[in-house]
Amino acid sequence: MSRWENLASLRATVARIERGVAASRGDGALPLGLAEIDRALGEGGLRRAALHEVSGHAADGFAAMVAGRAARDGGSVLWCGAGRGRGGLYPPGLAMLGLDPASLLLVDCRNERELMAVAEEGLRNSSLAVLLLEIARMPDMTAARRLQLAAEAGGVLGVLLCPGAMAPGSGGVRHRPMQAEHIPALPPSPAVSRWRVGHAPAGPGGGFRWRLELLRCRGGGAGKWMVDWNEKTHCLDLVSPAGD
Amino acid sequence: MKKRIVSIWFPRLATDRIQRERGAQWAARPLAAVVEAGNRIMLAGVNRVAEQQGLAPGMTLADARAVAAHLATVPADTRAQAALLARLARWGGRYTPIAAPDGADGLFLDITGCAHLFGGEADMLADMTARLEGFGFAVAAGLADTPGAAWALARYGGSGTIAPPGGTARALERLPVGALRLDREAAASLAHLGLRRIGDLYGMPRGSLAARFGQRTVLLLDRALGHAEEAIANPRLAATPRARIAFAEPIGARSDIDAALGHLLDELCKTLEGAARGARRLELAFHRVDGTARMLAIGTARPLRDAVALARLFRDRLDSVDPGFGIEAMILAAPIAEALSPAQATLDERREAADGMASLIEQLGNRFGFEKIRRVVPLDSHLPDRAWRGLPAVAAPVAGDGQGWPQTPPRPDRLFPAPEPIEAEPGAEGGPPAAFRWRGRRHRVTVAEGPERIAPEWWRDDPAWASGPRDYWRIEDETGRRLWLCRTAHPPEWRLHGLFG
Repeated sequence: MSRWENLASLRATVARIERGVAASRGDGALPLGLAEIDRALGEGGLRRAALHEVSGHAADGFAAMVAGRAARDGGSVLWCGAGRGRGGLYPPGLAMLGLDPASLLLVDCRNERELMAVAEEGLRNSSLAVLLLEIARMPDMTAARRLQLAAEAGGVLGVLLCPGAMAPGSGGVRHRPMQAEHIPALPPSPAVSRWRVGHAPAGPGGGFRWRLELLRCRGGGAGKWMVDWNEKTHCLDLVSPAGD
Repeated sequence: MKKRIVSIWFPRLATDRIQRERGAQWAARPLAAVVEAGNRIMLAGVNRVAEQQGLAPGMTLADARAVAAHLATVPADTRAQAALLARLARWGGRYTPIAAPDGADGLFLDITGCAHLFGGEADMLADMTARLEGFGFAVAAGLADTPGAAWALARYGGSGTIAPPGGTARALERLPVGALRLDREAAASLAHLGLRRIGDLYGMPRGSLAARFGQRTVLLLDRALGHAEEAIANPRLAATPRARIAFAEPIGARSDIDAALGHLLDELCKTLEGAARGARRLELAFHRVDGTARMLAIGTARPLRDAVALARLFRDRLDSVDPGFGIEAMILAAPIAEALSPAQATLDERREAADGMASLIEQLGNRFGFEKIRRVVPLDSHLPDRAWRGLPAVAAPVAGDGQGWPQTPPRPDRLFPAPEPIEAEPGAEGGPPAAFRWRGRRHRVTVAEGPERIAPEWWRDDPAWASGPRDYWRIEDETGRRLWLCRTAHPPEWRLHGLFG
C-alpha cells in the first residue's frame, strides 16, 4: 500500500469516527478510477455521506458518470428536479455514461422549497447510493448545510448539480468571456468537493472529453485534468494533467 | 336522518338456484329441494309448478310423491345458497353501499339517502324486483323504517309494499304476529290467546307481554316498530382488518399518541399476518372528546405489515394531528390489503434492495405525493421520444428483470420534448450544417457523425412526427460540446433535439 493510500484510509477512518456513524457502503470514499484525481481528493475518492458541487456545461455528464459508479455495487439513484429548460433527462442516454436506468428514480417538484425537502428526505435514506439535485442556482449556506447534515446522517453521496453556476459562457457572465482564473472568488459552501466540468473537443471518433477542474476539496487539493470517457469500459482515461 | 330499509325475500331461492344453473326446462316441471331430517326426507323448497300442484316446504317427500308423481328432487345445498345470497348482496351494492344477506333467503339493504338517485322509493323498489325477476328469482320486497318492519312487509304485506316514513305501526297493524320473526312456539301461544295481529299487541302492557311470551317477543316488536335499534351487518366493514384502542382518560401528548399507534400497529400486523396479507393503505382515525374525528391516511409502495416501518410512515403526519381537548379512541384500519406470504424472505439481496427503494418511495410519496416519483422503464419503440416512460414508482415492477434497453447508436442524455428550431448555415451537400445558431449562440460544427435515419411509426398518428422521417447527426462544436441535430423531410429543416453529456 502506497503512502498516500495509507493516509487516505486513515483519513476516512477519522472522518467516520467524527461523523459517529458507520459508513454503509465501501470505505467512505468513491474512487473515480484515475489515480491522479483520487489522490487529489485526499480520501482516495469522493467522500460518500457528503455533498459535492458540480457546475459547468458538462456537469450532467460528469454527475451521471459519478452516479453510475456509485450505484454499481447496489443502491439506487434519485435524480431530483430535472431542469426543463435544458430538455428533459433522457435515460437511454444516461446508460452510455454508465448509469443504469433501472436503478434510477426521478422526482418532479413544483418549486424549490419542495425540491429541497425531497432532497433532504432522500439524503437521509440509506437505501440510496446517490442523490442528484438539479438546481438553477446554488442553495444558500443554511440550506446547503442542512443537505450536508442529511447526507452525513444517511450515508448518501449527494451531488448538487448546477450547470449554470460559476460557468463561463452562461448566465450573467455570458457576454464577458473570461478565463477560468478570473472568475470571482467561490461563494462559501459546505460541499466537500466542488467541481467545474466543461467540454473539450475530442476530435473525430472520440467519445466525451471533459475538462475537469477540482476547485476545492476539503482535506484534499485542487487540480485540473483533461479526461476522456471511455464508453466501452465505462472508465475515465487521462488525456493530460494540465487541463489544456 | 330516519333510516329506510329494504327487505328482499326470495321465497323459492333453493329451486330458483337450480333452475338458473341447469336451464329453463327445469322450470317447466315440479321440482323440490330436499333435506334429510332424522330418518325422513323433507321438502325445503319447491318451484312454482310444484306449488301449483299443492306442494309446500315442510312436507315429507313421501307425501309429496303421492301428490305429484313426477316430482324431481335435488338435495338442498345451504352452503351454495349462502354463497348465492352473498353474491346478491354484493349486487345490491348498485343501490347502496350497505347491503347484507338476511337469514337463508333474504337481503337487507339500507337505502337511506339513496332512493332519489333511482327516481324515488317506489321506482327503486320496482327496479330491484324487476331486475331480480329478470335473473330468474321469485322475489318479494318491502320497504320501511326498520329492518323488522321491512321484513314483515316483504313476507306478509304483498310485494312492493312501502311503509311511509313514520308509518311503521300503521303498516304492521294488520299483519299476523308471525311477521315479527317470532319462532313457531311464540306465535302459536300468542294465537292461542287470540292475539293474531301485530296491532293486537300495541295496547298490551309491556311487562305482562314480556312475562308471558318472553323478552324476545317484546324485543322483536320494539325492533319492528323502531323502539329498539337493529343493525344490518355490513360485510364491507367486517372484511377490513382493523384495530381499535379506547382510552380510560383522553390522551393528547405526542408520546402517548405514538405509543398507542405502536400498539395498534402491532395488533393490526398480527391480524394481517394471520390473513397472509400486507397493507397498501392505512387509515388512522382519531376520535376526540368533543365528538369530532380526524383521519390520517398513508399509502405504501408494496404490501407491508412491518409495524416499525409503518410507524415511520405515520411519524411525519402525526404532527398535523390536533388532539383538541383529548383523544378518547383511535381506530386503525387497512382498507386496502394485498397478499403477502408469511415467509417474506429478506435473505435475498435483491429483495432487500427493492425493499430499501420501496421504503424511500413510501417516505417521499406520503409526504409529496406518489405521482411525483417515477421509475424508468423502456418502451418498445425505435422513436427516441418514445423509448422510455416514467411510471409511478409504486406501480412499476421490481427493477432489473427481463426488460432490456435496445441497442442503439449513442443517444443524448437530455432530450427536448420537441426538437428546437435552429438557424442553420448550409454545409456540404447531404451533410450537416457548417454552423448554426441555437438560443442566441453560434455553434460551429467541427465533427459530425451520421446520419441515422429514424422513420415515424406509420401505424401511429403522431403529430410530432408529421414532418416525416428524420436524419439524425451527432455533432461536436468548437468547444467540444456535443449536440444531437436532426433534419426533417417535409419541410426540410434543421432542428436540435438533444444534448450529450
